[in-house]
Formats: sequence, C-alpha cells, structure tokens
Amino acid sequence: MRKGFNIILALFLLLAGTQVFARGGQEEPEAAEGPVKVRWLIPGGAPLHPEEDTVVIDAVNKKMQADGYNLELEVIRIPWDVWQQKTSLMMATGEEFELIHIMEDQTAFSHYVGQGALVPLDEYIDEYGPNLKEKFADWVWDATKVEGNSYVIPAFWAEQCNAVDCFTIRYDWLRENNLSVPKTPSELLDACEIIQKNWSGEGEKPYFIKRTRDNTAFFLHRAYDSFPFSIFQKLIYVDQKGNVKSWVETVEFKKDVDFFREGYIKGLIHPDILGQPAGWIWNRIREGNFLYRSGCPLDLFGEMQANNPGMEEGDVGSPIFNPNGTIMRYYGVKNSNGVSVTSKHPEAGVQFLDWLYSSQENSDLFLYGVEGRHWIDKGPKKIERKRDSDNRTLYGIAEWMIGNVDYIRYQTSTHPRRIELMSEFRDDAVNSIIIGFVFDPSSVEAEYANCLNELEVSVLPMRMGLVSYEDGYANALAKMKAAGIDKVVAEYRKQFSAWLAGRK
Amino acid sequence: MKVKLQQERYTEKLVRVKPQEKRYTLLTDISRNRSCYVMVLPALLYTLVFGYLTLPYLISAFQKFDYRTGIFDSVWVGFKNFEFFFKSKNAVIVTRNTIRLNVLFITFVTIASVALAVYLNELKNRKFSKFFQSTYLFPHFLSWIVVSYIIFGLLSTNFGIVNKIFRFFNLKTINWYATAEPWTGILVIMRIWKTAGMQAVIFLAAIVGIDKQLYEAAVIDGAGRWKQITSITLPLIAPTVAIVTLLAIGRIMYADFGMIYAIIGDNGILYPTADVIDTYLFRTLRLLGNPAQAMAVGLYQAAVGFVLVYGSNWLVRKTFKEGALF
Repeated sequence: MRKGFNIILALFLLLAGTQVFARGGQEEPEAAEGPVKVRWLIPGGAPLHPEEDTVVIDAVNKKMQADGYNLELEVIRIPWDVWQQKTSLMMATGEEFELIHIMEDQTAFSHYVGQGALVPLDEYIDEYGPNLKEKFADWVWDATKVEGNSYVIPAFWAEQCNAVDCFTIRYDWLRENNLSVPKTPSELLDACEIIQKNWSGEGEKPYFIKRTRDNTAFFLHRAYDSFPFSIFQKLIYVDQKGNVKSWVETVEFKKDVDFFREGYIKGLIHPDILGQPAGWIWNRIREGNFLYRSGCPLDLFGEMQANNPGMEEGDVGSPIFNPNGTIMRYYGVKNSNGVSVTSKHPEAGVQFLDWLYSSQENSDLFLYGVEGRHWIDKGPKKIERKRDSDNRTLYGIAEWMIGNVDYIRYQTSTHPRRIELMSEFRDDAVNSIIIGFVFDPSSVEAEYANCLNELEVSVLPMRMGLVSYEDGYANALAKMKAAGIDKVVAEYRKQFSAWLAGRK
Repeated sequence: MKVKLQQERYTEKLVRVKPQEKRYTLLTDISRNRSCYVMVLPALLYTLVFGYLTLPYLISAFQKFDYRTGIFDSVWVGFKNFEFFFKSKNAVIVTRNTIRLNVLFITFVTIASVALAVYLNELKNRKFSKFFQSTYLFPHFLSWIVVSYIIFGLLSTNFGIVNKIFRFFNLKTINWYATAEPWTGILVIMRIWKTAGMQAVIFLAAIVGIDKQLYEAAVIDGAGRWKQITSITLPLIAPTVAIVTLLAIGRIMYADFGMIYAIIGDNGILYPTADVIDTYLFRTLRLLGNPAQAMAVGLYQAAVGFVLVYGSNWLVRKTFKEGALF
C-alpha cells in the first residue's frame, strides 16, 4: 500500500514538474476581452515611492485607452544581483511577460535569440508599429537583426558617437595650474600629475576614475595612427577595412596598457583600483574629485556644482583627442527591449512601444510621471523633477532603458554641452563597420566563455595599470591561447566576412 | 468439564470480540500532531516546489536549451554544456578554492562557535551573557555588501586602519587588494566574525538541554569547570556538532556567492586564492546567459556534494553513530 502510494506520489511530482517545464511551442493568442497586459521586465530595486508609481502607471493606462491602445502596463522590477537567474528561470518555466530589457554590455540580444527567448518582430512591427518604423534609421534597424529578422526595438537614448570617446576633466584645475586642455595621452598624464601634486583639498587626493567594468579606453584610441577601429567585447579588434584580429595581440592594446601603467606608477590610479566599492567611485564623481573620467560627457555636472560652490559651466569639459579625425559611432543598439516567447500577446509589447515613441507627451508621462505632480516643464528638453524631503525624485524610469533621444529631457542643472552632445544627431559620424553584425558564438561557446573569463583574470590587471605589459603579457597571452582565443577570432572572422560579403 | 468448556467458550468470545489493534499510519500521526504538521507545511511546500518539481529541469544540462520548446523538445547535446567548464584550466583552480575555503570555513567556524557557546554557557552573569550574545549575533544581520565596506575601511592602502597601524610601527604597508596570498585568511576571519555567533546559538541550545544533574554529580565527584566542559558538555553536544557539520559538508561545493563577490568582486589579481565555482560561473555566464551551461555546473556541484555528504555520513556512522544523519 505504502509502496503504491510512493509510486503515485513520485509520478505526480514528475508530471507536475514536466508540465511546468515542457511547452510545445508558442500557444495561440487568446481572444482578449479586457485590456491586454504589457508586463515589462527591467533590472532594479523597488521604486522609492510605490504609491507614485501606481499613480503614473494608472495615468499611462488611461492615456493608452484614450489613444485607442487596449493595453494595461505593468512594470516588473527584478533586483540587479538576480536579474540573469530570475529572467532565465521565468522564461524557462513559461512565466508570461511581454517585454524584457536587454543590455548589450551584459547579455547581447543575439544570445537571447540563440536560446529561442525572443520573438521575431518584423510582422508585428509592420502591423502594430507604424510609429516605430519611422522612429529609427535603417542602420539602427539593421543592428537589431539576426538572419534578417528584427528581434528587438532599440532604446536609442543618446547619440553614441559623442558619448564614448571623450574624457571629462576639470578645466578650472587646468587653469589654476596654467595648463592647457591635453591634446595627447601623454599630455593628459602630465597634466594629471601636476594637478594631483598641487592639489590642496581635504580627504583623499584625486585619481583617474576607472572601473573594472569600464569599456575599452575608446578615448585613447582616437589618438592612435591606426584609428578608426572597433573593439568587440574587449576581445576582438576590427578595423574599418574589415580586418579582424585578437585585441590583446595588437599594438593598440599595448599602447593602452602602457598608458595606464604609467598612470599607476605615477600614482594617478588609486592603489586599490580593483577593490574600490562602486559607491566610493560614484562619490568621487559627484564631488568632482577626479583627474579625468572617460566617456559620459559632462555627466553629473549638477552634483559636481552642488559639491563645489561657484563651479561654472566653463569649469568642466569633455574634450576628445584628435578632434579633426573621424567621428566614430561604435554602437548601433546599446540598449533595447525584446518580446518574450512566453507572451501570449507578442503584439502588445510592440503596441506599447509604438504608443510610447509616438509623441513627446506619451514619453514624458511614462518616463517622468504626471506633469505638475512629478515634474515641471522647463522648456524644450528641460525638466525640473519634484523631490521628497530627502531630495529623492518622486518618480522616474531610467531613460537608458526605454527613452528616445528625440524626447528625453534633462535636468535644469545639466551642462548645456551635454544636452547637445547626447541629443544632437551627427551627420558627419562614421558608423563602425561592425554595427549591424551579430556574432553567433554557439559553435565556439566553450572557448568564447573561457576567453571572456580569462579577460577578467589575466588581462584586467594589465588594463587597470597594476601589471606592466612586459610582466603580464606573455602569461596573459598564453592563457588566452589556452582558453581558445584563436578559435574564437577565426569564427568571428568567418562570420563577419560572410556578413560583409552578403551586404555587398 | 462443563466449567472448563464454559471457560474455553468465554476465552474464544474474548478473542473474537477483542478489537483489532489499530495500525499507526501517517494519517494517524497527522491527526494526532496537527499543529506540528501545520508548522512544517511551509517548509514541505518549499521543498516540494524547489526541491522536487524542479528536478526534471536537470535534463537541460544535456541539451541546447531552447525557451520556445522547453525540456522535451530541446536538442540533446550530451556533455557539450560541461565542456566550457572542464576544458578550462580554471576549473581545477576554482574547484580547489571552493573546497579549500569551505573546509576552512566549516572547521574554523565550528571551532569558534562551539567555543563561543561553551563560553556563553559558562558566563554566570546573565547581563554579561545577554550582552555578549547580542554582540556576537549582530554581524549575522549585516549584509556582505556592508561587510565589504568594512573590509575596505580596514584594508585600503591609503586610509585603511591596518596600514595606518603598520605605518605607526614603521612597518612596510601592504597593498591588500593587489596581493592574493592573505585573502584566504581574511575571508576565513570575516566568515567567523559574521557567522559564528549565529551557529553558537544552535550549540548553546544543545548545551542548555543537558541535564543539570550531570554537572551536579560531577561537582560532587570533584570535577572542576574545565573537566565538566571536556567530560560532559562537549561529548553531549557532539551529535549536534556532527549533524551541523554534515549539513555544511553537503554544500561544500557551493561557495557563498554573496560573500565572495561582494568582497572580491572583479579583482582578477585575487582570483588565484579567492575565485570559487559560483563567482567563476557568474563571471563567465553573465555575458552569455546560457541556463543550460549554468545547470551543467550546478549538476556537477550537486553530484560532488551528494557524494561528499554520503561519504561523510558513512564515516560518521562507522565512528560515531549518534552523529550520523541517516
């Protein structure tokens, strides 16, 4: 009797489990009676003011109904530390949601596509996204495609060609030390050395702002003779003629390493660069207590001003080396939103984004909340956000997740030059040759994963200046070779050449 | 004869009417201990959902998992998902680090928490006892992120307290975040600081449960405090210590990701001593996001953990039967 009961229980568990995990493809959409749900998965903690969030989402839903979109929005936030695990689990178990935010520097959308996580969107965009089609240039749409199908809708929140290869430096400190704006990497090192030596503030002296997860040092590359070129995942070098090489084996990589090593030896890089908590770094940025910061032109100027009374717009700048050289656009899509295969209404996600990108009014409502209650219009592209007694904004959705460059507003304290750089489209920019190419690593997955890991283990200390090229290169290269870098580069070259040939 | 016959009939009747002995089944137990079963229900449901209903998902470790088709229709790829881990030279390093760190954690945390429990039990002043118990418990409630800031405050090169002390005594300062060797010790110390207080509570509960008459008898026989500890307290809490240790051994292949990642982060220089399977997986797969590869390594961790816990239990059963789990 007991044995029989155990067998039945085991079978029940097995069946229950397999029912959860097994799905025979996408089910047919159910006929919707009420509004169709649009559940949007984004990384991040709970909102600071949940009640204000509810107010805004209700207002968004009412506005969508009034505009003829039968949709009901729900924003689902998943903490950063479990983002990858939880979203994978939700999709694997068939949990329904419509939209998922995708960050190319975390997990490229092509990986999601390779695992069958995203719905191809072309037919939905044709039918439900008239505003979307016009919103993005063809080269942006090209960057969303795998094997000819678009899988994501871009969050084109900034003109990326201005956002990547500049460096931010305090012009007031340059003037105080009778220095001009550095025009070469060696001038930058010299200027930083003098600024740090003559610095007389309180607390810890200023250093380079450098984070372990930072991108490749694009700002340095402009100064090299071989510019322009692109770097894929800190792993592969591609020049504009289409030559593909292993990045760590290039002369340019050596130049990067030598620059940071010199900075480290001169004491311009913090000795605990690899152990600094993220909060420490952000505090230095907000205080304006840094020698330089790469990318992010004139970011957080308002906070810097608040911490440095009397600081004016001309006291900070974000110059680029070789300003007469090619202006390069490195990314086609850096952030995007895809439609999950677990959704019974894939069209709903497309409809929502179509509504969002159809007007300034809709974008304002979702990104900044209810006008008057959460923000005040301060003119074109300007905003003043309302805050609580702790100076925290009452409501807000991160613009980089879903904002569009045409509609994004900036705080009144934002540096005017930043607004120009981030929002004005540059016709003179040249797109990186790799924009639109999506690398599929599935045939070299083991090698690719191990190379990415090895980058962190043996290459990162060189990139941060802690280990010299002479001391670290041979060992790092041997480890990269053992991890399979040659195989990865060969596969990238093969796919990239085929893609280029197809374009011609 | 007649009387004897009557007696036999009577006995027969008694046998016939004697109620059959009721079987003691699971349902009987549930009906008799309803409140206990209600209390255990959340844990049972948790185990059912996360421990059993997820078992079929293990098969994805051998598939090119496709979210559209689920586990039944994804393509079978054999051991391909294991390749990225076992082809890498780092697999040996991170497995060794995981086991080494966990062995050190289990050993030193157990020693520290038993010592702490005995010490707290020996404190006769209740106020002191409560104060110390609260003090030792406090770190348990801090997140590892907060602890990582504390460590940075202690060990940062320029303003860290440790280097300031070194400077005061004219000793050579250390760039802790660029020196791998000391980090095994630092991690063990932080682990003891954060978890020993909580584990001591379990052992203290076991000590409190010891019959006081044993101590009274020992005192009559002339045993001092130390003799009482070594001859009564420690032997009697040994089964509890053994069970707690066996449970910890079961997770010896799982490092505390929250702890290691918060403290070590992306610092490649410290990886030779501090990189563990979980941080390696996180680092490698955060860019690829392949759940099948994560499952493959998870299966490897579970299999080794199963063998270790079974082996340890077998060893304990042979040498110290009361301490065995099963």
